[in-house]
Amino acid sequence: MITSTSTSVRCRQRPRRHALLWALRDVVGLTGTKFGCGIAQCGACTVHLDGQPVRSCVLPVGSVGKRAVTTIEAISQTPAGQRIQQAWLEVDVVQCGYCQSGQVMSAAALIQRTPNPSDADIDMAMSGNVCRCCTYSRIRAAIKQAATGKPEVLQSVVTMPARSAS
Amino acid sequence: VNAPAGISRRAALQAGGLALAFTWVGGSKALAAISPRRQPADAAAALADGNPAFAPNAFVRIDADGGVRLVMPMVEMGQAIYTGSAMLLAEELGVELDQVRVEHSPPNEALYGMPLLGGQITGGSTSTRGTYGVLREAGAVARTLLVSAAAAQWKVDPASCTVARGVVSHAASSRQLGFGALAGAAAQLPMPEKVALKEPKDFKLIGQPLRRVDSPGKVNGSTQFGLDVRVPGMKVATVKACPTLGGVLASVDDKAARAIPGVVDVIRIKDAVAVVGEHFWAAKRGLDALTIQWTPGQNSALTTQQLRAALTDALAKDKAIVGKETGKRPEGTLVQATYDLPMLAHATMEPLNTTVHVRADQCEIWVGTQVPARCVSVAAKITGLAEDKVVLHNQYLGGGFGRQAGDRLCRAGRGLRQAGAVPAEGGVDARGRHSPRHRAPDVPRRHLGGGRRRRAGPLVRRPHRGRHRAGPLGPSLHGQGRHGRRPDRVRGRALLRPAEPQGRVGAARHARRASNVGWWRGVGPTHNLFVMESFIDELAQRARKDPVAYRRAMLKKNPRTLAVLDLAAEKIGWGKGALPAARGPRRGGGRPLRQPRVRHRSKSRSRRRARCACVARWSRWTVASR
Repeated sequence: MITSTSTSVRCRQRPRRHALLWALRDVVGLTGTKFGCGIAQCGACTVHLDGQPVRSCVLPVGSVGKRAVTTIEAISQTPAGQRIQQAWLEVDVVQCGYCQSGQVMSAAALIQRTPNPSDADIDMAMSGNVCRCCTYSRIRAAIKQAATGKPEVLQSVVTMPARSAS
Repeated sequence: VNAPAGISRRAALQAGGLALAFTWVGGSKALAAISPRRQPADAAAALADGNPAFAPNAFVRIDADGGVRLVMPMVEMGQAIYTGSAMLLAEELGVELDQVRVEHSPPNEALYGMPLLGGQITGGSTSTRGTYGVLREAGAVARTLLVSAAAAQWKVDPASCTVARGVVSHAASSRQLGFGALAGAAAQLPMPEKVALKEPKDFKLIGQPLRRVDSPGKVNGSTQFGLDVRVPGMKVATVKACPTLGGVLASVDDKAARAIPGVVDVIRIKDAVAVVGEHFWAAKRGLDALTIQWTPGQNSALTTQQLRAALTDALAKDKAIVGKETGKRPEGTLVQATYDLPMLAHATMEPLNTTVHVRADQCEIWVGTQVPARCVSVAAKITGLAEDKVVLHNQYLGGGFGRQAGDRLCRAGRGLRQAGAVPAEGGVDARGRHSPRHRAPDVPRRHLGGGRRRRAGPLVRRPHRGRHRAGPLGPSLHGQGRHGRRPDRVRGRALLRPAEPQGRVGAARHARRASNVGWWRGVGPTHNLFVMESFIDELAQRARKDPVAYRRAMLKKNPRTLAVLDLAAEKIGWGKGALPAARGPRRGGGRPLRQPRVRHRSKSRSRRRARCACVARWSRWTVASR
């Protein structure tokens, strides 16, 4: 059983070894979870299994059992996910954006279990999520901002306040 | 001057060397006719784009309901060009970024070809400076027509009207009309000859650090990248290519693969095998189940050590050096250093992919590409269809790095032509995983004549302008340059060119056969700047000077570059005790910004402004993440 967004999807017809990532993307049709490496090295495919971050590209559907799968499409329904997504927008983290679904999922799981993470906690939780655009410093700032609610001061040549674009 | 035929070295340096690298992919400059005004091809393009009530040019669409859609000439791959281009258009149009929707442009050289690169090509850090004037003017043309329509309706002087947030106002009579209400009338008006552009002091958007327009979709997973395209009935293919370049497929046993549920077909290509499945999982399992015999070819025994040795050998024998020494040799100690740069694999986060649906009379393509028009030409050749029968839908790119500027469509296309009439998505190439192209290895050696070691000033004596030959146009490893030469070799090295009387570069030709090399993110500067700046550091150290002070002395006649250097030095607190400590063990790897990298160069007025718009972004990124 895959619970995603607000719908539940039965996925019993799939072979049990079928990796969850492609069950989500190709069978259920939820493409927000990304295929990056396929070998659990990049973190782009991160989803939550009962709130815990897992790499869906190496997780067989058969091992999901009755646990709830939460994807990027539904993470805004959790308080932690909502705070992370908001901070992501305020800090303007994304560049190409391809890894960001996974980054948001890992970050949401982090502040869910560690409400005020240290740099070491962030390193530990986020080191499995690769960003080729190198948005790491903003990811760190956004996680802290989501955790504390206080705007993070980024080391930046820009001193003008940013205005929301959308 | 050893410059590529037909292009003077001076021209190469003036363009920062950037323009040249991409001319091979583009069409002719005559086709690159990007214009702020209506063109013959506009009517069809607007019709295909939802037939907006008002489409004065290729970039602005205003619907009757007041919706403002902006068509982006260059593609978004993380560099925030959709935000930058939208800012240029919105600034002059009179809307805010929260009111606009950005759209991918269709492939069309006549409407979106940029003269700077000679085509509809995104690359080489040219997007803003190549479209700065034209996009502002395109916004101004639209605004002028909308204001004219309002003024005519109210029977007032257009100059007495103002525009803000998509509304035209006449203060004296307290009348207002939204863009949507004016769109129909504005569409009937003739194109204005001249339009007034805002004075920079009046800019509301340009120069402001606005938030990106593409963030929300990328944060909630709704942004569609090429790999997210879903077409009814589509199949998914994944490819395994010969592990050595030049090798070919000898035989393949596909019995086990075809027995896997969901595997639709196994396709043999000259140097690769593709498995087509109902979904990726089936295709992947099918690929794993193949028993493939390759004929590896002559490169199978080649080693990195051999490549490296050949490069070093060529450098030692001066075989690879093209840059000439002319003019007076500076006096003083000759300082030499050799830098060894590895071959690096490109890996965009998004696996390279293309979705194609070939029918008898049409070929439809979904792909995130830096060269959409070129993809159309390639697809037309593969399918034998006319170019106007090829429809391409560009997508957000999960990283570009020049990797989406290539011809991977060819590989996908060759297989998919055989696949027949089902739409299919070509997936990962298993040889290079994400990419079979690598950045070229490089063994550049810096030679600089210098003053005496104890001399107070910079070691480097500036040769007379125009007499030195800083441009080491090395033999191509990229296999794409004219006459085997690549401007990538000089790119970035021109930045501190007074400091580089003789630059030399080694490269070995035979590497071309052994590996498929291509652009690396940042193109030339990623290796050239590393070499250049490292060498300047070495010189500074020999002169016992502070590296920033040493550079400042070199840049006396280059005030804008000097200003960038000074700003960067100020922001990182250079010279004020220890540099800010890395916030975590991974931040900068314990190696804080050692010297600011100066990427700034510009000559013309428009380019200078354009550069300003993106320097902030880059500087921010550089300062924050190094």
